[in-house]
Amino acid sequence: MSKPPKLAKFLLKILSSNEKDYAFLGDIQELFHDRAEYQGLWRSKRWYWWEIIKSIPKFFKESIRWRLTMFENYLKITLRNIKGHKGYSFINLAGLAVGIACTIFIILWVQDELSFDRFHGNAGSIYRVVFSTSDDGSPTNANGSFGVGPALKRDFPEVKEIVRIRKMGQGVKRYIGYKDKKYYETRFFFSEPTIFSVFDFPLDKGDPTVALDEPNSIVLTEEMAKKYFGNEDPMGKTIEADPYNDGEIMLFRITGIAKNVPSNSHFRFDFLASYRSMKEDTDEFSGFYQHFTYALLQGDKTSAESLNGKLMDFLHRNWRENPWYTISLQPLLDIRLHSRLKSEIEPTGNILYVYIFMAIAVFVLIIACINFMNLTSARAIKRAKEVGIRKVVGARKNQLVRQFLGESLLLSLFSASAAVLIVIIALPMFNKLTDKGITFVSLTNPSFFFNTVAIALVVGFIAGIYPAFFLSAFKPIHTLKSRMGYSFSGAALRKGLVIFQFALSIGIIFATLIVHKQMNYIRSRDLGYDREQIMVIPLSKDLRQIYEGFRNELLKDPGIENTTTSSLVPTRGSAHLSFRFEGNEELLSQAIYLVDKEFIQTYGLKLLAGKNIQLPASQDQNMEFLVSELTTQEAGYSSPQEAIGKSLDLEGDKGHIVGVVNDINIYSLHRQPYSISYMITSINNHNYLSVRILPQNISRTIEYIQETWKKMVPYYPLDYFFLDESFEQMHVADKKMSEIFTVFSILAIFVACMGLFGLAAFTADQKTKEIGVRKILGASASNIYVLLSREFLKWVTLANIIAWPVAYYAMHKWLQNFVFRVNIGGEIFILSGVVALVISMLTVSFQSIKAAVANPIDSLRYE
Amino acid sequence: MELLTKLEELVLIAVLRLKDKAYGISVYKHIVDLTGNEVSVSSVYFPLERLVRKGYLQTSMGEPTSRRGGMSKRFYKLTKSGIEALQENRSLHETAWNGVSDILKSSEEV
Repeated sequence: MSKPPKLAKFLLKILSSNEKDYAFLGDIQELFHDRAEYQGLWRSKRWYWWEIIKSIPKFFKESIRWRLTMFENYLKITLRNIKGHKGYSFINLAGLAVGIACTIFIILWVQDELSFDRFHGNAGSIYRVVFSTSDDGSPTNANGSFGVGPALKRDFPEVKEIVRIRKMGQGVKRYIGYKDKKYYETRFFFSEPTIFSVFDFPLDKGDPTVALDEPNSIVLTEEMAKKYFGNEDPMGKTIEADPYNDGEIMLFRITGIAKNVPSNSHFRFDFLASYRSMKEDTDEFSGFYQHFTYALLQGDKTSAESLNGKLMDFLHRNWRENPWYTISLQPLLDIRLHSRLKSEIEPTGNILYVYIFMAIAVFVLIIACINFMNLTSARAIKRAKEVGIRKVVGARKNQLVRQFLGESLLLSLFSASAAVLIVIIALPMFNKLTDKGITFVSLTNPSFFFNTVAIALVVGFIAGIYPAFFLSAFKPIHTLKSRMGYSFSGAALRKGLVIFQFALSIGIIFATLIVHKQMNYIRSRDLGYDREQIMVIPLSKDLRQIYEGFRNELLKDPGIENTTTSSLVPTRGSAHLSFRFEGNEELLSQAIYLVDKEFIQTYGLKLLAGKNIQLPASQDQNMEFLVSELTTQEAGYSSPQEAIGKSLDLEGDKGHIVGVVNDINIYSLHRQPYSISYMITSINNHNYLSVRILPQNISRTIEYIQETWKKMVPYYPLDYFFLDESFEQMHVADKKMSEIFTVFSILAIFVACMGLFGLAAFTADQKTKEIGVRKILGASASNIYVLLSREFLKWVTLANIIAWPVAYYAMHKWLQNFVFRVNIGGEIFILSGVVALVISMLTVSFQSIKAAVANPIDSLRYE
Repeated sequence: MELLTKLEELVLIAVLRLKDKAYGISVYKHIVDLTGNEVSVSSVYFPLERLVRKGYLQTSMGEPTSRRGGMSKRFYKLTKSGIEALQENRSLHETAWNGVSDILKSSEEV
């Protein structure tokens, strides 16, 4: 007998879903055979195909109608389930909502980190010229010398444009004044006019092509225009400034107003003065300044790589045979997250933190998903009857899977909307925590919407897939016959999930404890100098001239112990010179501090050998030096005492060591201490006045200093900072990190506890009858409590054992970031375990005690 | 009352006529013979099922045969409400046409 076309028949079988459709299938086949007898096979096959094609839209319409009907039913059941079990639903929804909100926040944070400098149209073709003083030529400095930029443009056709900028005062603010408005500013730059063609910094007013052409012209941001000029039009007005901080006021004519620089730029300026206003010779190759060179290249990445290869020759050709630094090109887009150079314009981020936070987001989300899986499958028993009935009236397994999956998707979409609400409410707090400026506007971005929906769908799917299969696998005969037993399958998996969840939480607690320990260590570490109660005032020309009088006036106050002036202060940069010490042929690089004789006393340095320096250095006599202990070691002296009297050579000038002091950390604890040499010079080489004040009555002392300043230096406002704050500032990224860590770890633990709470409630509920019987047979409340809590105790203990090694390894890695770091002591292990244990026991106890003290009569009447 | 479509009405009448031999193919063939149009099987089948859903028809299954690829026949029979629906539609039909034939005739004369 002839057969209908297989493919067509197969198609029809897919479409049809029940016996009435099979009847249709049979009818068609019967007619096919009838036709085949009188029409021939080929024509009847064509007829068969045609019949099926025409039936497809009708089947389709039918199935949609059915789906809609079922969907209505599913929706009704879902809502009923939410309403009927408010407690569980709240835990499920709130857990997921907090989890999703955490993830959204972290995505916002990561997006912001990744968006740095991408707003420039040329972003992909801009490179920064970075400098290296290391032997292997790997970049060490973001800053460098003046002359490299223009020579690069001259020598290489692939360099389309060069822009050089110079920041004035790394650490010392610069004076700016217009009429009676006088302030100190931190973001004052000299810049070449090309800054507007290489980068995208749009001007509100003024012509970007000529704004910075003339000497003594300046562009300021909107914000600064408002600050100094209010509603006046600043264009063409003249402001005064002291960019070199030498007391010589320079006048600048305003030629442009720039839009405020976005917060996701690796450098931000407030003032851009024209490059030609600078006093230095800007073709010089020697010497590093707070000076940065950017190149706009032609072509793709390979042109930067090939250019990198030619840069050594370039230095030989343009500078000298034996250069003491080398240069290379760094992509602009690498600066924010992948650059770890000295003298960055602003602190950079760290790709490590991006990874860590993404990991935390995933962890919190996993914890929330596990809650959902556990609670849903634990409660499955309550819905077993529904599953049974549905199966009896003809639901197929995949229909049930779809129903439960759909339910969890719906719930997670619910949670996602709650999460968005949380994000909107908590956004200002989040911005404060992370120092970001994420606005509500960025939440209206379509990508934000799609991300959120995508997260919700993924979460709903992951959280729902297991309960869906678990529930739909119930055999109707078991579920309908009687109540299901307590020991239904899936308990083992659930246990595993809870343990995993707690292992994650313990890991996060562990990490938080380590981060806090390290932060405390940083705060309290002895840096070799006494950083408390030192007030630092930048010196100006006026103050230098009257310093002795000013100092005497200050010392009259009983709250002021001593004052000193120096070229630099710790935390605010360093200058380096090459020394040759007696008995050592090598040149040793030393950080050089130009000070006065009060320095070591004011800063609390300890004299390890010899005596303090007394005489100002001058070239016609043997100069006196104080050196750090590290210097004596590098020079090869066996003890500080041995170093006394040794001669040294400083680029031709002669000197000798009169004293040795202890080492100090002038930078953050991420770095090794430098070896430092101190010499006395005249105050004209000094930039800072440091005032040591007594801890009593600080505010009164500051008031006194302010009054004295007003009296003696009337032209300038007083600007000062405290050294300990400045030190904290260097660890601000670490501090932020520790704060963010704390917040998210609390959230993670909170979500995990919610799940545990739900599970404990469920267990107690399941065992109501058992508890009742036990109590009647004489069990005490404490027996019952132990019975209910024992299990959870076991889980948390096991979770500890899993979490410890992983967390130890991860945090050990993180600590490698610091030169000075804490040990991961045993107390961290114990504490993280105990914290998790206590929190979980508190959570569980609430339910256990409730069940334990309940009257057995109520529990036995339970059925 | 609920109005039946023309096709539904024809299908119901066919099921009534075919008595206990009314199943997919016989109804289909009847309609094709009656109208002379070679419509598709599914365009008869779906109205049949719609009438089952509305409660005008009830079904019973026959024995599967190999000629049908192992599928059973699905026999249809009018329910009480199906019969009522047919009656109502018919009287509606008659009321609607009442007197119209005279006008039709007279318009032919013009």
